[in-house]
Amino acid sequence: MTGALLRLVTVSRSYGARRAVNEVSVELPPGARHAIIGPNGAGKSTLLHLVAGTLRPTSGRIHYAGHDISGWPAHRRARAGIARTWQHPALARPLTAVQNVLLAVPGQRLAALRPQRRAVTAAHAALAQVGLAKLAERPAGQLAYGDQRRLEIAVALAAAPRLLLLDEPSAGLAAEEITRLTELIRALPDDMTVLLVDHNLDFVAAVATTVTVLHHGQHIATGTPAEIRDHPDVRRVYLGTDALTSPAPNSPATPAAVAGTPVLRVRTLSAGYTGAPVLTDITLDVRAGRVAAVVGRNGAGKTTLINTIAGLHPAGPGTDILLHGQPLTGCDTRRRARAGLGMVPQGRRLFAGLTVDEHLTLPRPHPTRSRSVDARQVLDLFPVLAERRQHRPHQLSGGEQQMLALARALLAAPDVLLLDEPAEGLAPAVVGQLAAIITGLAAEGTAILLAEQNLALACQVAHDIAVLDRARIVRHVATADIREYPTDLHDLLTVPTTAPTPS
Amino acid sequence: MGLAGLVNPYTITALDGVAYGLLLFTIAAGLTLIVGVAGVLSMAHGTLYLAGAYLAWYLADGGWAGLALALAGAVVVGAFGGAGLAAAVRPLTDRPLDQVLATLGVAYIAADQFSTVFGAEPRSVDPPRALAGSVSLGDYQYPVYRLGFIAVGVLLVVGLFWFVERSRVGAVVRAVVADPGMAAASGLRTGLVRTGVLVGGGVLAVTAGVLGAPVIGPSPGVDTTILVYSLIVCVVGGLGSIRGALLAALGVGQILTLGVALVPGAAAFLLAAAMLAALTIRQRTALPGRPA
Repeated sequence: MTGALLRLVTVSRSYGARRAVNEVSVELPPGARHAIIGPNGAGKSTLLHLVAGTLRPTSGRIHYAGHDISGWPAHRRARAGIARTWQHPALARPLTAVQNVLLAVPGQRLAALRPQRRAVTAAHAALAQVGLAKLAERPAGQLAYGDQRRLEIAVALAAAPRLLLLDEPSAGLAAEEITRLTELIRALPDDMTVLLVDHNLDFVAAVATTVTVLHHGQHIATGTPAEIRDHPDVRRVYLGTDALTSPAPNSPATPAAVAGTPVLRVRTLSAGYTGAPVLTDITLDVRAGRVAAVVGRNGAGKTTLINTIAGLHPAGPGTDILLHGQPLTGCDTRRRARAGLGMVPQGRRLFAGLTVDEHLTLPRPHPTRSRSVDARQVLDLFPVLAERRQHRPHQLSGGEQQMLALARALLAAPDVLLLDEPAEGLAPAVVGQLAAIITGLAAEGTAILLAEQNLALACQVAHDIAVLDRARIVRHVATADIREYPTDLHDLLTVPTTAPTPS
Repeated sequence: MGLAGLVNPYTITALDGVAYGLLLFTIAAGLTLIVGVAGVLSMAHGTLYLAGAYLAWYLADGGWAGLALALAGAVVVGAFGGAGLAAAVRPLTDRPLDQVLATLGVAYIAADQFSTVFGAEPRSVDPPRALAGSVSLGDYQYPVYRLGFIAVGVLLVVGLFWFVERSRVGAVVRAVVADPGMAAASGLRTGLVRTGVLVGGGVLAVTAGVLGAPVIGPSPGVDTTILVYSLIVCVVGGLGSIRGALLAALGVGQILTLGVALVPGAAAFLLAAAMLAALTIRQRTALPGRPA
């Protein structure tokens, strides 16, 4: 046998027809600090589940410490020394911090009336290791979000694992909390192996010695953070294409609507998940006939922003969203749609089981609205759909699905169109078609807000670009100015060129 | 042999199973849409059937007029019952267990009221005289009403399938089942669809009660039996799926009649075993795109 502690051999996992993890092979020597990164839907969390045993591989083998553990249930793997944390804290909320940790200390008798002194000592040691000694008697549910995340790590450490799995440990943490988390991971004993999944690339560069990049379930590259940073395929995964090296071919010129009035105004928008802030103090305007793009890395909060504006995600206090000057904050999703907000969500969210025709009969513009369109006009815009009218979403290609999602939104004759990563998973030629359609819609007067990771597309169609980073908009730029400092924007969106976190 | 060979005690029992299955489908189709669209696991669904059965008993006069009156009454009672349930669970949106408790409470209160008003003894309902006799199938006599019921049941199945799978309203309902958030973002009135499905499901269940009264007559406890069978149909067929409900209902109908006739010794376990088998097989062939 090799000296690897964990070895994945061509591991795959399918959900129905979709391969979330596709023949991935990874090897971790004892004491490794290994990170898995990749865009949303790359299969990172699935891979962690496969190692932890909460999911079984569809094919392939997993070797751990010389055993083939592919068929072992999760608890057997935990007893063999694999401990994990979850993407959202999974704690016994009514129990105190120390009681939570005690649950994980091995070697206790089930029937014992009170915990053994040795176990209590071990629990307190684990709490001290993560810096929570003072909060030991506080119920877990009352701890701050960052402390809950650290408590979860203490629970994992209390089991004295040989392999520690961390699922997005830095998600929702503030900058100084991430610094403390970095120190905590660096201070772990050298013989403990760490495998972590995270979106925060600065954090990954600071704690990991090796990095694996996944994209659509496929292994793209493995190497040191420096090697990964310069890897051309990795840049492509994160930026769509080699953006900006070639300036946008047909830069948008829409003289008609240059001074469009703001149709949609967003003021001091905030939003979060289970107490962790994802967006704070977002302010932007979307003007008639113009395309505003919000760009940012994975996990920056782009989808949350779109969903919050559409009313699919609750907005935090103090948020103001105005459409034509009318506040939308108190309206439900349907009222916002009727008022003129159209949405093309991430992942398209087509209605499973409904034909293309049925999708196109659903939305109807509200009778009070001035503009109206009919299905024929929309089908003229998307000739591919006209040939697929009796097909259902799963029978369509990715590009056709995206066109259908766009057509569905356009049928309601929206004044503002929200587009969330429309280029995701599409071939370059289809992205080109999409860009032409978006530019055309804007030229007809629709205000468009585009959340995009594909910088090439954003630069091609957008008039203004807002950069979202760590829950805030850190920069507004006009597309015309981008060419003056392209590397700046590049670094905000791709693997960092400087390892330590600046703020 | 020919046609006469087909008529034996087992095919006659299987015909009973078809009638039983179509009755269950009429009840469970409403429930599966209510669960799929509104997310309400209504424990009062069997109560609506029992209400319909008592309605048929109360208005039965041996002629067509009584049946017609009872059917008209079923629409009114079902619509009010469905709307009432919708109003009762509205404050409990996104609290599924509280909704189950609320509808269970409604079911208990209604069951108590039924016993007080109609008495505790089982009532038998006679079909209209024109359908009261029996017809000979080979060497066997078969009740005309049951054949008529099968015909009406088939019509209901065709109508429901057309409505759900072909009409625009059906497309709206299926869109809300598939993705309520996105349906709202497309401008669809999801709240109205939810109430509408509760009302429609109520009308279907009470109508099934009126039509089914001569087959499964009104008596205390029938509401629970019907509820359990329709829940089985919903779960085995997949929540929100009309096709699945039809297959499951016909299957349950056959198991409760033909299955029991074939293996009387295992009658008590047959349904549970079949359900377990069906769910295990479905789990292994999970729908594409849906994580386990």
